[in-house]
Amino acid sequence: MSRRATARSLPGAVFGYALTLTLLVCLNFVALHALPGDPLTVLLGDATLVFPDEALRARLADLHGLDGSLGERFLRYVGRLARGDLGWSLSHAAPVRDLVIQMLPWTLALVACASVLAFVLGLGGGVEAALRHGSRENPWILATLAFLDSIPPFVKAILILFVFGLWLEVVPTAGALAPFSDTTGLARALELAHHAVAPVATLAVHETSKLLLFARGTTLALLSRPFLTVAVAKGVGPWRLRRAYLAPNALAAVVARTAALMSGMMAGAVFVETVFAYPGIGRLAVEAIAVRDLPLAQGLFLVLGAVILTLNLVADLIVLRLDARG
Amino acid sequence: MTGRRAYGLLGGGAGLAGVGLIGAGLAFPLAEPAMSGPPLRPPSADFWLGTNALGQDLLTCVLVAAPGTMSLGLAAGVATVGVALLVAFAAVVLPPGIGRLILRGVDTLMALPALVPAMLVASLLRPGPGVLLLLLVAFAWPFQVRALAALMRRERSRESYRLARGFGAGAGYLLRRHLVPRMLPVLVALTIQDVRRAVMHAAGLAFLGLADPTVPNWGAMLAQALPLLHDPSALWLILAPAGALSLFIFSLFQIGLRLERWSHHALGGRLDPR
Repeated sequence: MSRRATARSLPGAVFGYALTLTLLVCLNFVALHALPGDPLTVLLGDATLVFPDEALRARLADLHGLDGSLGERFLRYVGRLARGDLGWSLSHAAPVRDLVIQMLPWTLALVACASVLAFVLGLGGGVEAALRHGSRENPWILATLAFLDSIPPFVKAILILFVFGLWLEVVPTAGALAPFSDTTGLARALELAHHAVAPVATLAVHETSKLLLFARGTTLALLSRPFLTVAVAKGVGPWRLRRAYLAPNALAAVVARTAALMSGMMAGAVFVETVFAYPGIGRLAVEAIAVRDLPLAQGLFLVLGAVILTLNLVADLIVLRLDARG
Repeated sequence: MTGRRAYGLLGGGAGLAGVGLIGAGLAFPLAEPAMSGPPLRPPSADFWLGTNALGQDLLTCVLVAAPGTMSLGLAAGVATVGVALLVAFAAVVLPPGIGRLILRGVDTLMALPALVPAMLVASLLRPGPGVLLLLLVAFAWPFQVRALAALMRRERSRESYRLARGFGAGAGYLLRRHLVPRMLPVLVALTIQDVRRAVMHAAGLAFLGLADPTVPNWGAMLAQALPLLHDPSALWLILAPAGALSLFIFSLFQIGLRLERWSHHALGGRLDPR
């Protein structure tokens, strides 16, 4: 198993974070400039119907930070990012930052709910699956998990939308709220929850199968340890065995997988938001690509990558803290 | 036992069918199906999987997209493990200082989420198969280096390896004759894992409209079906590519399990007692 090597110290974790973030920023810059042709033409592409004259061109280049030499452009790009300026969206005619501030909370809420769900289901299910190792249902459990793991996230989203949204009609098929909804208080909370059920479930199911297999492996290794033989011989009840012996010990290994979980969740959110027409930066990015609004798409993918890196840093720090406690 | 054998035959058969399909598809590329049928027809004797909005036979559409999707995934998986193998080898045989530096660099690259930077670059390029392959490999290889380097370190402590080195064997010979054969089961497992990931990511990028739209792909077929969700025809428009994609990835998993067991056995490893 390739396990992500976690940093051994706080400065190490922060240094690694800064390095990767720099890499992402450079990648964003280089990707645009490595293309053949003038970056401004690439950026505006099909969006310009008339060929701009020199004055308009200069204004556009200034707006997108594309005048001057390559070095100047890079410095200006980094400077703008440092001030929180992510670029100018062509299709929304607004700063990318404003759109991100508007949309990011939805994506984060979606991912947070799904992560908690996947974490609990993965850990609990992994322990249960390990306890059924060697039983008659074991091959079926494994085959089911392998099959679930083989369905790409966007296919899962479409199938869930199809079955629960269109066929059974138990969940809404689009949006985070009903159109022109004016509910308040508890009714609004319920409406929000009702719309979020399917996207959250899709994301959670996608990551649960991976976590579950992982927790199962860890628990299987635990089961052969002497302290568990003693515990079983002592007559520890099945519930207490799971709660006090297996789950806490499998927890550390599962927490160490959080980085991979977050990465998968954020990438999965792009697909899930697209399929369920749910607000968030993933769908915004896909829409931006569809209308060739490249400055917006670039800014959003940068934010998406930065959010993943930040979540990973937090996970690293938590693991460090758990380790420090012994 | 007979059940397991039948299951094995099924897996092997699926693998052979897949390889045959890729070969046939690359040797005799199917033409894009004609837009001559009645649009949005349910499956019937004339159109086994129904037709899409353009009146194209869906079965032909699925088959046309198969060799491209499959071979792209296979090539990306093999290339990913190949690159990771070379980097791991470099990290192991070069002086310890440089080796450590390489592994630190790999850690940094690993923190990059594989799919998001690929989306970023693809949004500018709309890559065709060649560039898509490069993209998929570029963001996937760092994840396998650590495991391979650890394995190589273990293999390097073997007597046979030291003896070969004592006789003056070069780096290429050592890698080819002493390291790769012993690591075969792991390499097979990692390759299959990467092929699955590459197929998923390639289909995902096509679904988002980030791949060259002229290259047929199951992901792109799903993206075309999505706007017709409220039409009854969505059932077969979605199930055909979704089923093909999921079943292919699932059969890769089964083939991988079998290959891994076979290569483990071929190396004189104990057969799994279960």
